Amino acid sequence: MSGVALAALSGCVALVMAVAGTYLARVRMPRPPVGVYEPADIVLLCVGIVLAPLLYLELPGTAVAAVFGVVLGLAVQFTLAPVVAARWPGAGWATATTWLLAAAGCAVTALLHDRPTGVRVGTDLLIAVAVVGVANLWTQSGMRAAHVAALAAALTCYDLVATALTDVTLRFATRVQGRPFAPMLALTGGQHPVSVGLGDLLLLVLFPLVAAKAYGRGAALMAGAVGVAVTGAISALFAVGALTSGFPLLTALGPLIVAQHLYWSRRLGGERTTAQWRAAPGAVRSGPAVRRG
Amino acid sequence: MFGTALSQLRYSTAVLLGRRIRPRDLDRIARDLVATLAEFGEPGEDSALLPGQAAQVDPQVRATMTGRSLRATARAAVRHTPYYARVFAELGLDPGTLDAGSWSRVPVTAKKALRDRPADFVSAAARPALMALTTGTSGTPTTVWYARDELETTVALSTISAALGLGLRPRHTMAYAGCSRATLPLLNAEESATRVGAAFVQFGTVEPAIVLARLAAPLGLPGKEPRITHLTTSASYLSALVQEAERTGRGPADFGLESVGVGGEVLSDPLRARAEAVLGAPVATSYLMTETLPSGGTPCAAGHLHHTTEFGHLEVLDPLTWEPTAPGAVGTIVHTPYVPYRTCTLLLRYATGDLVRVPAAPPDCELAHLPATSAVLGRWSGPLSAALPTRALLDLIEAEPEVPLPARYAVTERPDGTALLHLLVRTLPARALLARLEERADAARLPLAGIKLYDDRAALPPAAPVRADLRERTFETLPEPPEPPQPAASATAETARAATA
Repeated sequence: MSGVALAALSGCVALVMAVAGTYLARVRMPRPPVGVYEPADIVLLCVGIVLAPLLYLELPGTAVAAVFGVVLGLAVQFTLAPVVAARWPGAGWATATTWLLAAAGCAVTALLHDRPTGVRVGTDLLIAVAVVGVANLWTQSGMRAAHVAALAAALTCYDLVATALTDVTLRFATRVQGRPFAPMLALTGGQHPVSVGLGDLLLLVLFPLVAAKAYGRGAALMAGAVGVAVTGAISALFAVGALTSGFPLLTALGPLIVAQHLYWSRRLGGERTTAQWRAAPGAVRSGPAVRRG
Repeated sequence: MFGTALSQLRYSTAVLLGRRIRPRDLDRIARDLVATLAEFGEPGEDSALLPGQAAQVDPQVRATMTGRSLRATARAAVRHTPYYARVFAELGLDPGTLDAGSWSRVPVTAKKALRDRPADFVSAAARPALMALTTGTSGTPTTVWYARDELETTVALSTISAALGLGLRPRHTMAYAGCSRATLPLLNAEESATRVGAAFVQFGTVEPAIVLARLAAPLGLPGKEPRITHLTTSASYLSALVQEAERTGRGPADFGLESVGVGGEVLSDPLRARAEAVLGAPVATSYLMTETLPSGGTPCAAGHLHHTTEFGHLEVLDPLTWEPTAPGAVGTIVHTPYVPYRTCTLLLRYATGDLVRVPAAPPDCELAHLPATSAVLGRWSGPLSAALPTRALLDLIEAEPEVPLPARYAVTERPDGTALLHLLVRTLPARALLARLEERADAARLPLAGIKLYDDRAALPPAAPVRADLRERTFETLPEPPEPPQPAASATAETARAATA
């Protein structure tokens, strides 16, 4: 594996984290009139994450790509919508523009299906934007650090089973590799691509945001640093040849997320609510919430 | 998140299809709203779409829903209640063919019919659980049976309303100064307040001095404001509180009130102003009645009363002809509470007897999308009650601090058809007061032939009882009693003048 690509992967992860943090500080996403996250939501999320790859393995590759294309397109649209609406408030064309941008991104990526580099670049961009949006949506709609810690703990177990003990992840990765909208941020192609899975990337980006909301800037910086360090350490192990095939990143990251949550929770005596976070000085510089749709 | 979405979906489906509402779904929505407020400090976007929050609906959709709801309610009433089975059979009416346009073919249900035989209006498909009785200030309480599901639905809707409309939060404490026998409003107020996380205290209608002392007393509760923040009461009992506060020189600094809610009786503008001056909190009133819950009315900034279309169908009819009231004229509210919000006591075109004026021009206020009337003017008891409604009289009387509160008055009709106002005052002679009353009655163009003052209640013609008369006893020691007024010789002063109408 290319050492440069491995180093660049850590850099990309750090960049997506930084963009997500900036988004959190500047953009206020809409949320439904009622609803807060509950343990049942996390359970449901885990069930979905566990079942999805098994389902995808049974579907034709084109169908899987189509599903991910639609999901990524939607995620890109709701990520861009508040940004465009804040930049041009009241503009009737703002929502339509975000739909067009999302559709154009997906269409271009799909049309590049016979150009591996083009597909990778298009998919990576869509995934990066989608991860920024989804992580922010979850954070701004009240997901708590305890929820992310529970999710990380559950996914650690799942990742261990799916990646290390069975070949579910490997088969799934092989099936979607090179296709448009493959759920991974990939910098290289080939038999052993330098990439990070969508789920791993989402947790890497999500926890610093939720930590910022729950515990403040210090916790967010630590969470970001831990995430980049884990990615960098695993990349280094690949670079020196200690690791050669897929590694379950969450088996390293998950326990560290749980540990950080316990540390900050005990140190600060609990999490802040979203209202307390928004009321804290300099917590968020956001425009008015805008309608999604 | 997912659970809330599922509950909202189930609730919407039940409403759209006219099926039974699962109280658990509404309860879940209400609980999640409270949790949302705790997490975010405010509801998310489109909170007007929550049940009972007066969302704007496309007129075409609303018309379709109205027709569907009326048919569903009529079908249930005919199928399950002896009263409407008989009425529809006699008229040969098919409930399945009705819509808003043909709804007038359904006869108006008089209050007396419900009073005389409340069981005839109870659905055979329901399990009656609570007998709610109206106050019965007119002499006979009206009985309305509620099923357990209806109560839970009503409480959940009240919780949403308390959190969003009233702005109730866990730091608040609500006091209820209403009759302790008024089970339904008491249950609603207690449950909704405590589900929001606020504290609740039932005062009852004890001596006003005791209530004022309790409102002024520090609570010393962790996480709560230092004193009671919200008061719910009737207009007449509020007037008793105002009088006591004014008499003892209390002012806003003595209380920690943030909101005073008044219901059940007409709240005059002068009483509202006096209450706000002494209690230091905005006084708001809304329109709800035991028979038609959860339907009701919400006041807007322009002074209209806007009636929800979600839970029932409003008509304003002439109380003599039952024809629709013309714009600018006074009529009585006739209401049909919808199935599936109401499942036990079913009422079609129920004549509430509450008088309102239909706006002369279509409103352009923030709630213009909802049917509008004036605030309730009074209760229909004959043509004089419409020509000289309670609100007009209270606006005249309660603006005068010299008149003891609650105001005791009666209106009598002379043989020549003119009206005479009889009013109890503290002492006579009261020429200056009388002159002011006459002058203001003239300015308001009240159709009064004269005003007669009394300082002896026994001499006053029988005055209509008010809710404040339902005084409850307590063993609590009263604060220092007020100085009794100096006895004065009973006298009357009368003036006759031309009717101004």
